[in-house]
Amino acid sequence: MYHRAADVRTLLLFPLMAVGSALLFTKVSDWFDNGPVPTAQVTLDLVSDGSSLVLITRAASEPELTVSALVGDRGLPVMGRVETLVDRLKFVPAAPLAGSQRYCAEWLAEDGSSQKLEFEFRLTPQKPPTVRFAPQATLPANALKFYLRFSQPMEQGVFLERLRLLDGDGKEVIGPFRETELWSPDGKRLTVWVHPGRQKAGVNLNEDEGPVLRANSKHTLVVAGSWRSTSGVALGEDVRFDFQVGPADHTMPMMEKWQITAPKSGTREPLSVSFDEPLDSAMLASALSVHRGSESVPVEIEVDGLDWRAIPLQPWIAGSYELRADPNLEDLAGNNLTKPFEVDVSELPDTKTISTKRAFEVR
Amino acid sequence: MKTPAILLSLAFALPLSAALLDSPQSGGLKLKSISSISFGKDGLLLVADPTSQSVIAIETKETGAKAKPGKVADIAATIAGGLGTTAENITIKDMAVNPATGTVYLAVMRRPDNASLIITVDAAGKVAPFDADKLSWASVTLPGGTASKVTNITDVAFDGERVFATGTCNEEFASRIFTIPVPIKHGSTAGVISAETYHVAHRKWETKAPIQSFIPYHAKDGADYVVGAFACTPVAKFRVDDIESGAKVKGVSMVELGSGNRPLDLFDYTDKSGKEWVVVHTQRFKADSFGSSKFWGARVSMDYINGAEDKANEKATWRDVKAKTGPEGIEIVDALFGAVQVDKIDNESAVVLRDTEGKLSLEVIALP
Repeated sequence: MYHRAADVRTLLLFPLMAVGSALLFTKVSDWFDNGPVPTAQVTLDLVSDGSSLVLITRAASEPELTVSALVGDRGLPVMGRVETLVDRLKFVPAAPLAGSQRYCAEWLAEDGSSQKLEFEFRLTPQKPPTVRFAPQATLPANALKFYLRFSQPMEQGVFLERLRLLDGDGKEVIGPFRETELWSPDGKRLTVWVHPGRQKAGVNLNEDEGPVLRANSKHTLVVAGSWRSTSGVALGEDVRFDFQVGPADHTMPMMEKWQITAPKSGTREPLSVSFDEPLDSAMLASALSVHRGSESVPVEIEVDGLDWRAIPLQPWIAGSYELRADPNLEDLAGNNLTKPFEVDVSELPDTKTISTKRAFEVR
Repeated sequence: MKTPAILLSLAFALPLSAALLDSPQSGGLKLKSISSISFGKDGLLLVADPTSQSVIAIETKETGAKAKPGKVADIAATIAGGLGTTAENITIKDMAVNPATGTVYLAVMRRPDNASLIITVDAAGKVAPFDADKLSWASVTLPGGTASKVTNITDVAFDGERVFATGTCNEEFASRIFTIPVPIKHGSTAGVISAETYHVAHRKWETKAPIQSFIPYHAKDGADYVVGAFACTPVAKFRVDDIESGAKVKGVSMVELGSGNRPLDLFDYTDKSGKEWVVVHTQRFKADSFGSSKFWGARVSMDYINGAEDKANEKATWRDVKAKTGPEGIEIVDALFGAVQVDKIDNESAVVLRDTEGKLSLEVIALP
């Protein structure tokens, strides 16, 4: 049998082109044993994100191009659209070609002969992702949410299987999180809601199953090492985050209790604000603003759960300023500046005690 | 030639099919993510894309004879094969039936790259990608809070005059109803209504729990409502006619289905006797006492939704959680056990995605 895979002439007939950062591994092999020797020159032009591939060749008027994913000894046709141009065939898969996967393109050449090209699509190798837990603080027993911040966008739809919560005895807490999956638009930050039905007093799940977090106890969140980034690289080892849980917090953060350290005029010293309790770090990135009269002061923000700093783009001008807060700004238990999380809204607190503005002077 | 004036006036008086999209785009649509899909009239497909904080309306132009979808066994494996992966890397996030044709549309996500696309299943059970390349579409942004963006869009639906969507901001967990006027203008921003609801199970008013699934409903009192279901599991109505953007709407909880449930889908239908029902499909925290699956559904007579407000909130009707039916007009629907997705085909049937030992099958069920 004549095995054309070993034939150098075949490789010369099929120069291959990888575009962008995709690494393209091709193998021109397994030609039809009984088919004619391919004579047409073919260039494979594969977009780096796998969103399309182009075969530059002269094909039959009805080329019947198919692209199959090779799984074991089977070829599974890839869903997609074929566009036939004068000197090329374009295949646009319904979803970008999957990384680390072998494919086979088959079509009819201009002379009606069957053509076949096997290739492997690989994405540019990436480092394993890393993960951080926020907030870095003692959580109240009625904590509503926490954040996982990854170094890369992560695969979605699996977070409940990839997270385990252990109590102080190392025993797994069953059903601790709300099923709704909330990612930031860049896919790197996951908001994990502690199951509200178990955190709220008086709800059946709370009474039947008990709260998720126990006051005055250490807990551990285990992030499975099998969790992959969108480029298919797993975290590696399981990652464990130990955190302390304190008493429940049913009180609203109070702006009046915040420590404001005003900067000096003519400098770009930061305006520093220390909170009366840890606040939601994700919301803090945009929940506070600085105003001078009717004008907003452009600032760069530095933030962690207990402190917020605003560095002006231009030196401070002496005068009266105002720090304004979004009323929805929350503490770690979901109590915001205008009401506690667990409240009958018909029994709202006295609005006279609520403040979402603080004045300060720059001298 | 003189054109007869009467012909001209007749031509202008003819009912033209009103445009559903304003300043639509053609081709080039890229969906970043899909959390929910549904259909309006004339094959208008609505897609909620939380990553881009938007609702996208696509004119599918899919019309023609109506047929029920064909059964597909192990549909996740079929889809996975066509996407170069295996079934465990496929999530079917939502399902909608085009009421004009009976074609089933599935919102699919592939892992690990989170590629999001729409797959169709026709009457022959043929599974194919939905190609919007040459279709007209319009995208509308959903406004977030001052401190955060809308990144959780739980449901989207068309009431004949407006598009509604429900969701929350990522961090704030505040319940919102978004409204988009028709024609849907590309590049516009939706109106937003804050929703406040009485949660029957723990006897409190709440502003935070998001509406999980909803239907627009024109009630017997002549008013337009959004009928929504919440986790844990009140079914409430929100009056939305003549409401301005930025306003707050107070929900009226009419029925409580019992604690520990998370609603997945809602639809309404009229049975053979002419009685109207709303079907609430949910996932229980634990397996239900009356079936083998955590996935179950109940139908609730619309008489409850149309009920007077003196039978609401504190006096809402509780489902009898210890019986399969009761009180009268609230019944568990057996065919929904094990269904992870459901949508109505017509008043007699629905399509479900049923999970059997980890394999998803698409099948048609008869409605009671």
